[in-house]
Amino acid sequence: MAMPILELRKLTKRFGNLIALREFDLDINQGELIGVIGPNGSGKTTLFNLISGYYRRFEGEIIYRGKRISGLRSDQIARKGIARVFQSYVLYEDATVLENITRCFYLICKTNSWQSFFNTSRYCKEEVTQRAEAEELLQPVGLAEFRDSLAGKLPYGYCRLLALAMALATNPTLLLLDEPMAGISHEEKGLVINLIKKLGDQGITIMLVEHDVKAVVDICPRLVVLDFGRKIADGSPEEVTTDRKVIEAYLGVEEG
Amino acid sequence: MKKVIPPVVGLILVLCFPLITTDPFILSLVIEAGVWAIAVMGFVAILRTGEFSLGQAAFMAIGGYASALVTINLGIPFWFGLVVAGIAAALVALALGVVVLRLGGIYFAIVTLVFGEIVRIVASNWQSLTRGATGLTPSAPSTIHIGNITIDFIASKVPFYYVMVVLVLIAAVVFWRADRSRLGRIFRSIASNELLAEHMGIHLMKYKVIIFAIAGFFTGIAGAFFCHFTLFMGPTTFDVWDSIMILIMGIVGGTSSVVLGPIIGALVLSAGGGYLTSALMVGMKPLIYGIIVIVVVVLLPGGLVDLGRYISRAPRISSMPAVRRHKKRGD
Amino acid sequence: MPPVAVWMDGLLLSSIYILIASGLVLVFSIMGIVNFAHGQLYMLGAFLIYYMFARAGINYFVSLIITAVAIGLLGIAIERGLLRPLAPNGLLPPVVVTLGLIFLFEGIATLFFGPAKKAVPSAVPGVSSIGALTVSNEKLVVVAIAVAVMIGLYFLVSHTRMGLAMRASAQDPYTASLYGVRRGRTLSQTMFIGCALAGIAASLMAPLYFVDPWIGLTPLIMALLAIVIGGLGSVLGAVVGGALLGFSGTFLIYYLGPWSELTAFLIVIAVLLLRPEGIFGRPRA
Repeated sequence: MAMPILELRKLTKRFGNLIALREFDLDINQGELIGVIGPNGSGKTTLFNLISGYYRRFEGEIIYRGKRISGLRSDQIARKGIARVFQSYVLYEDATVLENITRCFYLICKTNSWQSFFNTSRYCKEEVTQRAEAEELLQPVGLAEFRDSLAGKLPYGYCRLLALAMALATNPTLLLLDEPMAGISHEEKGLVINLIKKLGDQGITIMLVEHDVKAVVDICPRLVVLDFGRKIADGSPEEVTTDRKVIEAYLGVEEG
Repeated sequence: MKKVIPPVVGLILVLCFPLITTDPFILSLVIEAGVWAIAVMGFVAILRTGEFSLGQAAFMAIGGYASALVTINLGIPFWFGLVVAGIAAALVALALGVVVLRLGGIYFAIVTLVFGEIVRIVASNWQSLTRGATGLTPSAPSTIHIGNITIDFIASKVPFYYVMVVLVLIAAVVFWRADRSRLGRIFRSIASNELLAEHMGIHLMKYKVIIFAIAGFFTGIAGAFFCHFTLFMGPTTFDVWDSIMILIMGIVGGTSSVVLGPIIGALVLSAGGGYLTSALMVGMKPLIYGIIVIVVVVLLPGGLVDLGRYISRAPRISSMPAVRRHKKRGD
Repeated sequence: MPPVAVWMDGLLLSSIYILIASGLVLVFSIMGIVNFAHGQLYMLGAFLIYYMFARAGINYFVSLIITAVAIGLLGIAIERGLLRPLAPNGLLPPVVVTLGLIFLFEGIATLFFGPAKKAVPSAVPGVSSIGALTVSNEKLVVVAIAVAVMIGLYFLVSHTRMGLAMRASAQDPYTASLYGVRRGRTLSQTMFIGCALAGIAASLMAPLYFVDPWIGLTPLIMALLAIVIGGLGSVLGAVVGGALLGFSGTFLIYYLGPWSELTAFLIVIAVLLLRPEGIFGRPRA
């Protein structure tokens, strides 16, 4: 069996007396599309905060492609090919939509800072191709016509789509999506679901934290359920949705 | 082509300026304004990563002392003194930046302000090296003979003027290119959203330290040039007030451009203020500076460089860069 | 052991640093900006006491109270007129305005009060003997008033409705406003108290030193050092930081001479390296 792309070993994160995540274990295989669900405050976002290096002090180990990444800074983790889309409004608000995307090409630039400083022809060429690539990335999320508007002025749904396009600009191997469907319209939701499926088909490993259980059940072949910082279920949507503990903790409450 | 014309015309005017006047008073004012312009460019470049430094004058002091000491004690020519000054200031900036830029926000402002005082205290007390308050007397560059042409730095201020122009040009080109290149994009990313920039793979510290050190380098050179021009270097030549003046010149000039804003700010406040000094009562100058700062911040946040756009009622592209509050994270 | 006089001077210096630093930190914790003109308010306070007490001959304690109120009102004017309208534009504009105010106030003081050094006579002349120890009454009064003011401040912040509103607003302005804290009023109250503390410090210090338009810088820097040591946003930190600086300053002058000035900065550097958030600051990632 192939080595998992991401191994989480006994992850525990405390905030004072509150334990946000408790001895969390998970193996994710290359190309998997895995949904993480759980009620509010169950530790979903904390999990992403640990993987992406937002919190650097915690117990346990994170191993990515056989190498330990726990304790590294966010930028070092991003450099290894892990991209994260934030739950809330995290954009370069004072820049245009297109500029937001180009800023995310930082990791995949082929020319170095010196070439860029002296404005060499290779750098100029790369700038032109990057602009084209950025416009291409805006197509599937339907933001091409907004490329010159300020990101801070976009309606909320578009912001989420832009954030998704920005994460893709870094050409990630592992994509962490934090509630990409929260607070967006029905059509936009369709757009996001299609995009996620397409990315899955391209072989990108995706971890999807979502509140909307229905959407996750539809697209993720594997689900992990969190409750009070513990993993209470892990399996196919059928297994998980029929699991008694899950129904009690989450679906039961949700369905009244 | 159209883009090239204004800078070229500007440069020709600058180069011809000594033909219009060789009045040593006017030339001195412009030369000093040029020195401040370099320091302000450094300040603005740092500001555009979202951090504001209140200790830039300390790097001028370090540059000034470095150059004065090596030229006096080791007999190194002025020109190498400038380079030594730049390197010394850049190294100190590097060391300070590594410690202090981790903190960011208001901490950075406070600690850089305090750093300026540390430099002053060391300079006043380390008698054996700096001769304390008596100060050092660095000399003007020695006379240069090229064929029949003699360039004498003592008889006239004009040679100093051209050296200043060259230094400002070098600094301007470096800061302008840095801003236009990928570095500038990285700096803007950091200023705009540190969290996002870091999650997109940008090593925040690395780039903040880089710009802090580059700014330190040029600020050090500016300080060295200044002390060889005024022939004196003492503990209060560059003090906390000067650091604050640098900030004020930057804000008044406008921070939306890395080069033009600082030059305008320095010309208006340093040269303009210097020109009026003799005509004003004691105390009028700080009063006017204070009023200018407040008026600019309240009514013209883009600074004087934005004035044209303001009058023509064109949309203003930028005001002041976002400066962070200090970060609050869970743990 | 340094002589008792040195302890007394340490106590004196600490009191002043604490008064200035806690005013600065109070304003910071609620408004999120450092008022760099705080030292200049101190300077204006010193001039007020000079004109009222030394020139007009008004009773020292009355002058002190008037000075504190006047500087506090000036603080409210700055907050309402300049800082509040600029607050939505981010952190930089209000901070730059306070830096501009440094020059403005310095200019006003030079223009109207003149650049010459002025002396304020002792408010409480004479000396007291406590056992074998002789201390000037002036210094005793300064320390007593400073301690009383700090105790008053503690009760104000921790035991009154106003203090509760301030603490709530410092922690989370938005939530506080949802619970009925009128942010505008809290900001004004805070600014008044913070600046009045600078006025009190100036009144206490003026008879011991001289007064001129440039005396504001050193207290500002020492207060900034104190709050960096203690932790930005913590009044308790400002007290500890101020005491540390006050005592270390006088002790080390006794042992080291002029170089002792540097030790305050070395303490700050040590704190920044070992515990960057300050002794009482909240830890950060």
